[in-house]
Amino acid sequence: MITEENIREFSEKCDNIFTQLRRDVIGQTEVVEGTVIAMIAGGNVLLEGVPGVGKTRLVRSLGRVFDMPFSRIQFTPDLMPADVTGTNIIVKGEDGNSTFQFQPGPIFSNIVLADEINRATPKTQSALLEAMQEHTVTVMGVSRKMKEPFFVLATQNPVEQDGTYPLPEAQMDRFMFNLIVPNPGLDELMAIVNMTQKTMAEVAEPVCSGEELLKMRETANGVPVAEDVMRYAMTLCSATHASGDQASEAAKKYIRLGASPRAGQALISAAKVMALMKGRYNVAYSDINALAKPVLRHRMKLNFEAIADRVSPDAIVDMIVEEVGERFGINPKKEAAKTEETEGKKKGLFAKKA
Amino acid sequence: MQQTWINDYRKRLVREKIVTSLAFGLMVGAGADFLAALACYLFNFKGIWLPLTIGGGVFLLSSVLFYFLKFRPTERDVVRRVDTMGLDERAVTMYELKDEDSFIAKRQREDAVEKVAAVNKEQVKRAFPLFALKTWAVILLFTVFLSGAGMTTVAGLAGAGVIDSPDILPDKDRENFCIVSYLTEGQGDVEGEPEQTILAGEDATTVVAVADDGWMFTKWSDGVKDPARTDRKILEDLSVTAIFEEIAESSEDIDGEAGGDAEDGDADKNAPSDNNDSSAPAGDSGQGGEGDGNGDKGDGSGSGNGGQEGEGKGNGKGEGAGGGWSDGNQIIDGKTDYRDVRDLYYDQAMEIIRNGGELPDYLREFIEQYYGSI
Repeated sequence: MITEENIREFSEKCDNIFTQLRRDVIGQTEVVEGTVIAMIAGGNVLLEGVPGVGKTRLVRSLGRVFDMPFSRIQFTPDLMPADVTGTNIIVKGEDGNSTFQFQPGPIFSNIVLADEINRATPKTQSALLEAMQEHTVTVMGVSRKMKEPFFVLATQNPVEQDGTYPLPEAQMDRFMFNLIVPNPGLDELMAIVNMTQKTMAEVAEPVCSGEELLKMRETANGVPVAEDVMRYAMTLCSATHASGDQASEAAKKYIRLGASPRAGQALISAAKVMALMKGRYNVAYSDINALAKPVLRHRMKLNFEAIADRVSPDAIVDMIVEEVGERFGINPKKEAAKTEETEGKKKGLFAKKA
Repeated sequence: MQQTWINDYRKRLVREKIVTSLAFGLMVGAGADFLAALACYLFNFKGIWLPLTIGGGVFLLSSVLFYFLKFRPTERDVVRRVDTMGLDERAVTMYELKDEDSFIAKRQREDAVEKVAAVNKEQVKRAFPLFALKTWAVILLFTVFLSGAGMTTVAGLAGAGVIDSPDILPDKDRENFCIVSYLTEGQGDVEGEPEQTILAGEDATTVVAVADDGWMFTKWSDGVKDPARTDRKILEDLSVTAIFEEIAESSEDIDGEAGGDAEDGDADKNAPSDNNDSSAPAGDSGQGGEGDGNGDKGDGSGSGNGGQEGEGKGNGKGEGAGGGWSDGNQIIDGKTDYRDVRDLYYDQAMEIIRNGGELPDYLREFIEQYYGSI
């Protein structure tokens, strides 16, 4: 049951989170917003970007802002699953008898940074699957529940592909968002250099505990979604399937494998958080459109034609959004313009709050 | 409050949808008008009222159908449209949560109402235009309307004889219909349908020739003497005339007096009553009848029982007797009735039978025909 107090707290916490993040991270508004939305909605995030654009720093800052245990795993080809999940070790008791005792791995934390996740072997990558979806870890036949909230924030470098192991579809599907971290703009670059000349230390302060984050998630879950909007979101997901009855032309042409139902869940959960962050008490088409790329881009397996034509997943998502929008009588560009007009936002929440 | 603004916007949407329905109705009506006018032009039908009536009727009917079956807005349509004023689906969500009493539902309602109140006139005008047809529909509407109007004009000009109609109806189809006309000559009417168009091989409907006062039906121009006729299995156009003849003054006298002037040597008009015996001489001085019986030829037909030969035999066959029976005067013409002579002939017949005599042929024939006819 949502109360006035919940709404007020949600709003305050969001303000505080963005304020603190801004102290350590310059620019990257969409990425920061996306990451915070995913964390509130309870999803994992895959950050993709070339080295040096601030992926790891962002995650570390998040670890500081959210007052929760944070652990970092640097994925390398020789990393073993037990290095991630933990293992049973033999411990000699006071009575001299030896017993197996579980030694938790770094995954037993609230926020896990899986740095350069695609450098580990598929076997090790798979060690994360259960933790990411069921929030449990099974070692030697014993399942252990993770502490809530639990997030995996992974990074990967899309350029250096030598010695990497592309994440399997099942793994990709478990990331709520795939956020592309772009190179900073000129102004941002100047600000970054200025700031880091003084100190490299992260200065963000914790402003949100795990319990508070769970409460925010509960509040966001209560945001209503109109049937029309829900139908629109689900049609977007279905339109990524080339053989489905809702298949879009873009999907028929370029997609081999469409988004799973997890995409629909992610889209709605994240849209609720986004709506509340914008001070709205309902989900709008514009929320769905804004989240379509981070939710869908990594869930579609492109066919040879898309690769040959050099069509990016983002371009395909744009085509699908436009086509489905037409079916629903929505013009995504107009919608975005109207939203900006009515809400007076041009640079996103993170920029405004900063 | 919420219901009030929904009703306000509903009125705007209803107005828009009525205009849209009329536009689509006009499109269909103009299309129907075009087709009807084209048919009139091609088949050389000279009634311009036909395409106009068809077009108008289809326009009205289809407008109503379009509105009630396709365009009539529901409350959800109204709130959806309200959302297009930049409300980010606040109105439709509020509509779905109207029965909820939770805090978030209340806040959502307040938020939606606040945003609706904040929209400006320009936004309302853009979201609820009176004429909201898409470009393709406007183009189609104008095209169909102009085609309909143009074709109607062409059909009208062809009907007026200003331009020629191609008149493409094949002859074989044309021959499939026959026109049957029943005309009159003299004073009388043809009861039933005097002008009939029927499929070849079918029957015409029955018509009856009825004479006016002072006139009698004599025959149809094709020789048929029965005033009632039903032409069967018509294979070609038919035109027949019912011929009526005026009844002479003298016959009225005969009708009234039922007697001829025996002294003049005429046949005795009272012959049927006076002469039970058919072989008996006509009248008191029937001899004279032989010579002058024709003097009043035709007079007897006034009473339907005129004689045929005027032999003055006094048996009703006398020409001037006014009471003789013939095929031609068996109709009800306003004055003469079967019964006039039936009773007379019946009495004669009964008298002959009572006396043990044999019925003469004319009497037997009359009685048989009379009963046969009824």
